[in-house]
Parts: sequence; C-alpha cells; structure tokens
Amino acid sequence: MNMDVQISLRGLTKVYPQGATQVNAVDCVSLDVCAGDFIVITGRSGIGKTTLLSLIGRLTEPTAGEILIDGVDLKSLDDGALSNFRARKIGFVFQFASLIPTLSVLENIALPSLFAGQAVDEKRTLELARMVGLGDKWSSYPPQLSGGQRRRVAIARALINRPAILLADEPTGDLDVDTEREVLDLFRAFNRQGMTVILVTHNPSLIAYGKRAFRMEQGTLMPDQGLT
Amino acid sequence: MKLGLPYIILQNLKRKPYRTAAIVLCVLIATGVLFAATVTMRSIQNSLQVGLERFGADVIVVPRGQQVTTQEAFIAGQPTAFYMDAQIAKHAAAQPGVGRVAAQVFVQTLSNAKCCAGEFFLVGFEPGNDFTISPWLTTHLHGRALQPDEIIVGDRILLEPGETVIFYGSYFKVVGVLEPTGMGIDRTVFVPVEGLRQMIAASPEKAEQPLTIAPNQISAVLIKVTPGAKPSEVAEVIENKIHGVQAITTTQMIIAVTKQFAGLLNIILAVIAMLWLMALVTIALIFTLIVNERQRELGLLRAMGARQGFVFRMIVGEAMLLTGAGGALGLLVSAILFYALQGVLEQNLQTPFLLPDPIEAIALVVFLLGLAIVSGALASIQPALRISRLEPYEAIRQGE
Ligand SMILES: Nc1ncnc2c1ncn2[C@@H]1O[C@H](COP(=O)(O)OP(=O)(O)OP(=O)(O)O)[C@@H](O)[C@H]1O
Ligand SMILES: [Mg+2]
Repeated sequence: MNMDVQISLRGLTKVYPQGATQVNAVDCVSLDVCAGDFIVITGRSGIGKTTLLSLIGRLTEPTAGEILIDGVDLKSLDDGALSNFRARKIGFVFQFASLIPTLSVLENIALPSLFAGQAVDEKRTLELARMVGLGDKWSSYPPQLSGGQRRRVAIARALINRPAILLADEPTGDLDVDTEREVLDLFRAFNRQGMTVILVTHNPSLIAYGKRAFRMEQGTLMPDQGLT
Repeated sequence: MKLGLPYIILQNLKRKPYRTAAIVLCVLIATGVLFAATVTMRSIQNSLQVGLERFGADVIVVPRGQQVTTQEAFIAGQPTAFYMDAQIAKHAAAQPGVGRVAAQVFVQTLSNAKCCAGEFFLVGFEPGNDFTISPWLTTHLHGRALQPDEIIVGDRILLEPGETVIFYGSYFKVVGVLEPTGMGIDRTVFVPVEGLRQMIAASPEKAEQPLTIAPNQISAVLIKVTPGAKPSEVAEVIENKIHGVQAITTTQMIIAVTKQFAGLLNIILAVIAMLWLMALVTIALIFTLIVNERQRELGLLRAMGARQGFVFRMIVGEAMLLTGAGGALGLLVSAILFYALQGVLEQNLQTPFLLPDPIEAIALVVFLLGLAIVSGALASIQPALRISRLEPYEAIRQGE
C-alpha cells in the first residue's frame, strides 16, 4: 500500500434487500484515493452513488469489504471514535435538505464544531457564510431560505471543521450556473490546501474540476474516459 | 453563540409551543393533584397523631348519648355542654384497669353578650389530677401552680399571653398558648376548675344569662388506663358498671375520623395512580411521535459527528425538562392553592388538619419533582435508544 493513500476501499459492497430479490447498490468497489485528490463521480440515478459516499463516511455499514482511512479500518472504531472521525475528518454535503430547522444559518454552519469538541469560532463561521454568499442571511432560519440558499448553508457547514475529506453529493443540483461555479471554485481552493474532494454530480461539465473522474455503473466505478 | 445540548433542546421545545404546553400541563395536573392529596392525607394523620399524643387520655366517659357531640368537641373544638354527677369520676376510678382519672367541666360561652368575649368552648380542668394540660404547664410554667383566674388557650383562639378576657362577667388572664394540634384543643380555652366554678357562681349577678351548673356536676371523665390494661375492655367495664354513661376510647375517635376519609382517600389514590399512568403513556406516545418526526434530523446530527449518547441525551433531556417543568409548576400551583384554600378545606372536610412540618414538606416536594423527572426519562428512554442506535444513513433515508 502506498503511504500517501488516504482512503482505501477494498471490495466494498452494499446489498439492499428489495422484496424477494436484492440490489447490489455498491458492488465490490476497490479504490485508492490519495490526500489532496479531487474525484468526480457521475452515473445514472439510482446506481449507487449516494450509497458509496455514505459508506466512505461510515454512515452505513458495508455488507462486505472494508474501508481504511489513513490505514485505519473503520470497522474497528467504536461509536465514540467513529463520531470523532465523522466530525473532524469528514465534511458531508448531502444530496437532500439537511439543515436543522430550529437553528439559525450561523448555528447550522457551526454545528459540526460542537461535535468535534471545539469552541464555536464565530469569525470563521461568518466568513464561511460570506464565502457561500450568505453573509446577509446569517441570522435567518432554514424555512426562510430558498432551496439554493439552504444548499449553500450545508456546503459551508461541511467545511467548518476543515475536514481532510469532503464528500459532496450533488452539491450544486439546485444552484444556477454562476453560483455553481463559485461553489466549485471554493472546493478547488480548499482542495489546493490539501482537502480531498469526492464529488458526485449529474452535471458532466463539472468533470473538468476533478483530477480523476469515474462513472458508476451497476454498482462499480469505471474510469471516465473524459479525463483520464 | 450558545450552541450546545441545552440550547438545542430548548430550540426543540420552542418549535411546537402548544405541544410543549400540553405536556407541561399534563404533568402539572398529575403532580399537583398528587401533591395536594398527599399533603391532605399527611395533614390529617399528622394532626390525629399529635392530638392523640397531647391528649394523653385513653378513655373518655360522658353522659350516654353524647358520643357524637364529644367527638365533635374533641376533634373539631365544637362548643358543647352536657353534665352528669361528679360521683361518676369516683366510680370510674374504682374500676379495674383504670389508672389516672381527671374530671372536666364544659361550658359554652355566649356569642352576642357584653359579658362574654365571644363563643368559646371552655373546659374546666383539675390542675391536681389533669394529665392533658399539665405536662405542658410543667414545661412552660416551670411547674408553677395556675391561679384560678389564669387560663391557657388553644392555638386557634386568637389570644396572646398577657391578654385579659371576659367570660360570663368574670375576667381571666391568658398565661399560655398551646402548640397547634389541629384537633379540638386548638379551639378550646382551658380554665382551672376552681376558677370555672367561681365564674359559674358569679354568673347570676355578672352575666346577661346565668349558668345553672351545680357544683357537683361535671361533663366528662378522662381516664388513663393502667399499664397492660386494654382501653376497650376498661371502657366496656365502665359502661356496664356505671349507669347512664358512655365510655369512648381515643382509638375509637381516631377510627371514626379516619373512616370518614378512608374510602375517599382510596378513591383519590386510585385516580392519581391512573392519572400518572396516563400521563406516562401519553408522554411515551408523544415522544415516539417526536422521534419519528425528527428521525431525519437526528440521523443528520449523527452523520455530522454527534455521538449516540448525544442524541440519546437530547431526547431524554427534552422529556425530563418537560416533565420537570410540569412537575415544578404543578407543585407550585398546588402549594399556592393549598395554602389559599386551607381554611375552606378544613371547614368542609370537618377534620383536624395539621400541615406536615417543613422538612417533610420539602422532602415531599423533592420526591415528587424527582418522580416527575424520572417519569420523563422513563417515557422517552425507549424511543431515544431506538433512534440513537439507528445507522445515520438509515435514519436519514427512512425519515424522508
Ligand atoms: N435503505 C435502502 N433500502 C433499500 N434499497 C435502497 C436503500 N438505499 C438505497 N437503496 C437502493 O440502492 C440503489 C442506489 O441508491 P442510491 O441512493 O445510492 O443511488 P444514487 O446513485 O445516489 O441515485 P441518485 O442519483 O438518484 O441520487 C437504488 O436502487 C436504491 O433504491
Ligand atoms: Mg444519490
């Protein structure tokens, strides 16, 4: 194993029962990702992309195979260590609405620092709100925001703890072209500072942002000709 | 920014104000009723016990047919007047099992006469034989003998030591106030029998209405049985041997009072138990709904790095805060109502009433508050465990 490998997936498989049959949402995926990589994954709807990201963030347990992060098998972690890992190492941008409606924009962005056991850095929180173009909305509550604004709060939140790995699931799905570019420029800037990015998207034009691109088919990852 | 578990819980409570208020109200009622019922029960028991100890007598001998009025006099301080021959005291003293004997003379004072301070229940007692008031005299007057015009009053007679008061045209000086018992003693004026006889003798010339109580008449004989003797057996012997009297045991009086309430108290207790059970089930149900409703959010928190324990504490903490607040408010409301309505309650229940001492009251408050909080924890523990153990991805997906 290469010493620079940060994420190592070995025969990763997730099977869901579906009625009498089963769905291999993720089917024996093996992949090594080095720190600072920028991976773009595309693929048809329902093919297993969200499932794959959830497995990497250990939001769900694999049916088979293993995930090593910095050489540590995630299976060996107890709840405390796993929660720590999620809070400090991973930034997750969910595909669907993911804000806590009872907390303000600023509180939503700051939430992961609570779980990482860090004091809330208000300056940085505000700065991130500004970076995603919500500098004037920081005291609003999620129900008062548009879909795109909510998505941007979620993006700022994923970045608050300076995660080593950003797992972004369709992060710009409901954003206009300009805002989308701003968000991806932000990802790129963080990526240049060493953050690994795994981006799932339906938009083929975003492949250009990646260092490597994959297409997901039948639960497996195929190198995308477009880039590699 | 005050982001933290307590803040998140408070925000959660704010999101459905009506639901929050409903749960608080539910616990408020349950705790309040439990508190009021317990205090009532304890007050009655307390008062009977203190009264019994203070009373000191095991058997009371009164004219036949006066059992009910006697009970009212001793328990509620209802003025009463009936008389029998003083010889009965001597006869009673001669019966087996009878230890000490003390005669008492009852006088009812006039309510709307210049010669009387108001309507009171006067009890003439024999300082030499008495064992009801005398122990008090020993400790408070250092054994000094009472002058005929010196009186001792119950706690509910609104007179202070040193005050002078007029009965049937004769003046008496208050030298002591007895500790409250909640029993008739509290509404009784104790006069040395010598003073009382002088007052009776002077009443034709001094009072608007003369008293016609002969010097050889008494109202009741208090008996303390000898060690080992059974009061009920002594009472039976007296009723058989002495004509025209009724011997009532103190226990009989206590039972008579307790019986009045036993049925009521059992019903109240059953209702309270049901009330609590209902509150518990309701809260458990509500929290199952709350957790289902927030499943997605809770999954998201876990995905962001919240530990299982955080999610668990969040749910259980919310429940405990709700039931704790409800319990505290219930106790407060109940205590205020209880204090305000104490007089009404006392009158309507026709029962001795002595609030538990502060330490017992505080212990009860702490216990009930704890009970409320523990109930909250119990009602929410199952849904909290379920959700905190769910995989974050499952929680998010199912909650959509
Ligand atoms: N909890 C589950 N139980 C059963 N089947 C599931 C579950 N989660 C996902 N699946 C199935 O697994 C497959 C992959 O789902 P996934 O959400 O990973 O797709 P996706 O590639 O992210 O799709 P999209 O692009 O539409 O977001 C789908 O067929 C889905 O129905
Ligand atoms: Mg998806």
